[in-house]
Amino acid sequence: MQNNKPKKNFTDLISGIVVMALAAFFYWTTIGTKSFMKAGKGRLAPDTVPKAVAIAMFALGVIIIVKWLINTKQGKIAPAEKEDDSANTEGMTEEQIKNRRLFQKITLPCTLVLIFLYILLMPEIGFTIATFFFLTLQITLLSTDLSAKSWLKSLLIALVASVGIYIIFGCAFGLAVPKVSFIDLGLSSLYRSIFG
Amino acid sequence: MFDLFAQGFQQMGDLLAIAMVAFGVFLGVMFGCVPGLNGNTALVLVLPLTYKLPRMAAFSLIMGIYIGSCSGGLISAILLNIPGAASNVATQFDGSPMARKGEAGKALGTGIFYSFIGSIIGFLALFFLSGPVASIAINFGKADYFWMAFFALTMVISLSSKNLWKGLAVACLGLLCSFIGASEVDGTTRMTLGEHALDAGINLIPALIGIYAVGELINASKSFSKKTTIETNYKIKGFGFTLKEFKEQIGNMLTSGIVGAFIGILPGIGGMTANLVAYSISKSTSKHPEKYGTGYMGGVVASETANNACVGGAMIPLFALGIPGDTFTAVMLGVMMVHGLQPGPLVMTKNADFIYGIFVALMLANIFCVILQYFGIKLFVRMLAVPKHILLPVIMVLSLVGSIAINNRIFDAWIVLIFGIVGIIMNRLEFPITPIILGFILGPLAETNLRRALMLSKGELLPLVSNTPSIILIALTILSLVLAPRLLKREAKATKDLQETQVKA
Repeated sequence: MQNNKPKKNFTDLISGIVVMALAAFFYWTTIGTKSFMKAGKGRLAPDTVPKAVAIAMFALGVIIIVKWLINTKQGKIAPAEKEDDSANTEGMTEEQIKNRRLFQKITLPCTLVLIFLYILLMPEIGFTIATFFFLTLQITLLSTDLSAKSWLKSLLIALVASVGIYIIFGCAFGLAVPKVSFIDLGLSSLYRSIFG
Repeated sequence: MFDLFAQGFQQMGDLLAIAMVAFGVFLGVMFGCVPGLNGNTALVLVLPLTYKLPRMAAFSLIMGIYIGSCSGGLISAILLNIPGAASNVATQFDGSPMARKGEAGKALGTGIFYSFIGSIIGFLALFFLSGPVASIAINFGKADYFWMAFFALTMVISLSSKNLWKGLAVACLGLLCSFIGASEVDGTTRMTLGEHALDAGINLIPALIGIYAVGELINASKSFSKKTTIETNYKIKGFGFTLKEFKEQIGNMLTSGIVGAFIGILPGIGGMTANLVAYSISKSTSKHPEKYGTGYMGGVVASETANNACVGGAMIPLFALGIPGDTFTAVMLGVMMVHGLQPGPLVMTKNADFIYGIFVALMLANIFCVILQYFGIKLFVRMLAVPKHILLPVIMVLSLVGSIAINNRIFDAWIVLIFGIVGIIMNRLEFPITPIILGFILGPLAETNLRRALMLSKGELLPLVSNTPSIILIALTILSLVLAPRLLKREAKATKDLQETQVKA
C-alpha cells in the first residue's frame, strides 16, 4: 500500500469551511430575537454578543482557509498521515486482517446509528428492552466477531446488564428512565415487593 | 481552621462516604491502568450514582476516582510499556527500562510512593491557595468577572491549541452554544429556533458526555486487542528504594511537585502536560541527564510526583472561582450544580464544611491509593485484560442514563448524540476540544458580567478597564499569551525525548 505521491492534506480547508458554516448557522439562529428590556445607554441587546461572536467565528474560518492556502502554496503542510495498524495485525491471517479493516470502517457510522435508534426507541419500548437490543448489537459490533457463539455471548451479557442497570438505577436509585414496557413495570413491582 | 477540619471529618465520618472513597480509588486505578480508558470514563460510568448519593458520599467517590486515575497508569507504563493514561507518558520513559533491567518492583514502588508525595504537595497547594484566591475573587466587580473569564479562556486557547486560530474558532463555538436559551440579564429567549426544551439552555453534563464519551467509545474501540507482553517478574520489598536514594531525589521531588501543582492550576492543561514538563525540567536540571531514559529512578519520580500534584492544583480554580481547568473538573462542576452548590468564590465560605469534607476525602483517597496499589498490583495487572468491547457499550448506556436523569427528559440524550457528533468531527479535523468546553462554561459568566458592567457604566468603556483587579487580569492575559508558547515548547521537547528514548530502546 505504498503510495509515492504524498496525499494532499485538506484538513484545514475543511476545518475552515466547517467553522464558517457553523458560524453562519448560529448567526441565523439569532435573527429575530426580541428583547423584553428597553434599549438604553450601555444596554446591549440580548443578541448583540452572540452576533458578534458568530461574526468573529466566521472571520476565523476565513483566516484558517487563507492560512491553508498560503501554507499549501509554500508546501509547508505535511501530507495526510495514513493510519498504521501493522502492530495490531501481527500474527493474523489475511482474512482476519481484511475483516478487521472492514469493521474499522463501519464501527463509527454503525455506532452512531445504534445510539440514534436507542434514544429514539427508548421512550417507545421502555428502558430495559431498548438497552438490551442496543447492548447486544453494540457489543457484537465492537467484538468484530459475528459467529453464533459471539452473538450468544453478547446476548447474555446484554440481558444481565440491561436488567441489572434498570434495577440499580431505575428501581433502587429511582432515576427517571423511561418505564414503559411490561418488563420495566414488572421489574419495578418485583423490586418493590422484595425491598418494599 | 481546626474546627472546620473537624466539621470536614464529621462530614466524611459516615461509613458510606469512606466506602465511596475506597470504591472510587479502586475504579480510578483500574480505569487509569487500562490503556484507552481514563478517569473521565470512570467518572461518566458512576455519574448517575453521584446524583442520588448524599452530597459528601458523591464527592468522596469523585475524589477517589480523580486520585486513583492519576496514578493507576503507572502500572501499565512500567509493566506493559504502554502508558495507561496520558498523565503517565513520562513514567514510561524510565519505568519501562527499569522493568526490563529487572527493577520492575523498584519502579512500581517508586511510582506509588511518589504519587503519594505528589498528591500531598497538590493538597497543600489547594489548602493554602484556594482560600486566599476566593477571598480576592469575592470582592470582584462585574467588569473584573468579565476579565477573569476572558483571562481563563485566553489561557485555555493558548495552552491547548497547536493552531491558535482553530483554538479560537472552537472557543467561539463553545461560547455560542452557551448563549442558547434565556439570557441571564433580561430573560430573553434566544437562539432556540422555537424549541422550548432549549429555553433553559443546554445542560453542561450532557454536552460534556457527548463531546467525550461518544468519541472515546469510538476511539477506544479502535485500540483494542493490541498484542502486549506483561512484565510479571517482579518483587516489591518496601518501596524498593533506599533512604540514600530518597535523599537524592528530594530536590527533584519538590520541583516536580510544584511544577505539577502549578500546571494543574492553569486551565486547559493537566496531568498530561505536567508529567512531561516535570520530566523535562528534572532531566535538564539533573546532575546526570544522560541517565534519563535508561531506567533511572529520577524520571519516574518526576513524572509521578507531577501528575498527582496536578489534582490538587486543578481544584483551586474550581473551588475558588468556579472555573474548571479540565474535563474532569468540568464534570465535577456539573455534579456540584446537581447537588445545589453554586460554584464560585462564595462556596468557600457558604459551604466551608463541604469544602473541608472534600479536603479530608482527598487525604483519605491518597492513603487508600497507596494501600490499594501496593497490595493490589497483581489484581490490577489482571484487569489489563478487561474486555473493552463489553465495557464501552455499558459505559455508553450509563452515560445516557446520567444525562436523562438530570432533568428527567429524553431531550438531553439527544444533546449527547449531537455533541458526540460535533466532538468526532472536531477530533477528525484536529481541533482542540478543551476550548469548546471552557467557552461553554465561561460564556454566560463573561457575557452577563460584560452586559451588567456596561449598564452600570452607562456605556462608558473606561470604567471597564480602570479597576485594579481588571488591570491585573488584563496584564495576566497578556502575560499568558507570551508565556504559553514557552511552556508548550517544553512539552514538545519532552515528547521529542520520548521518541529518542524509544528509538534507543
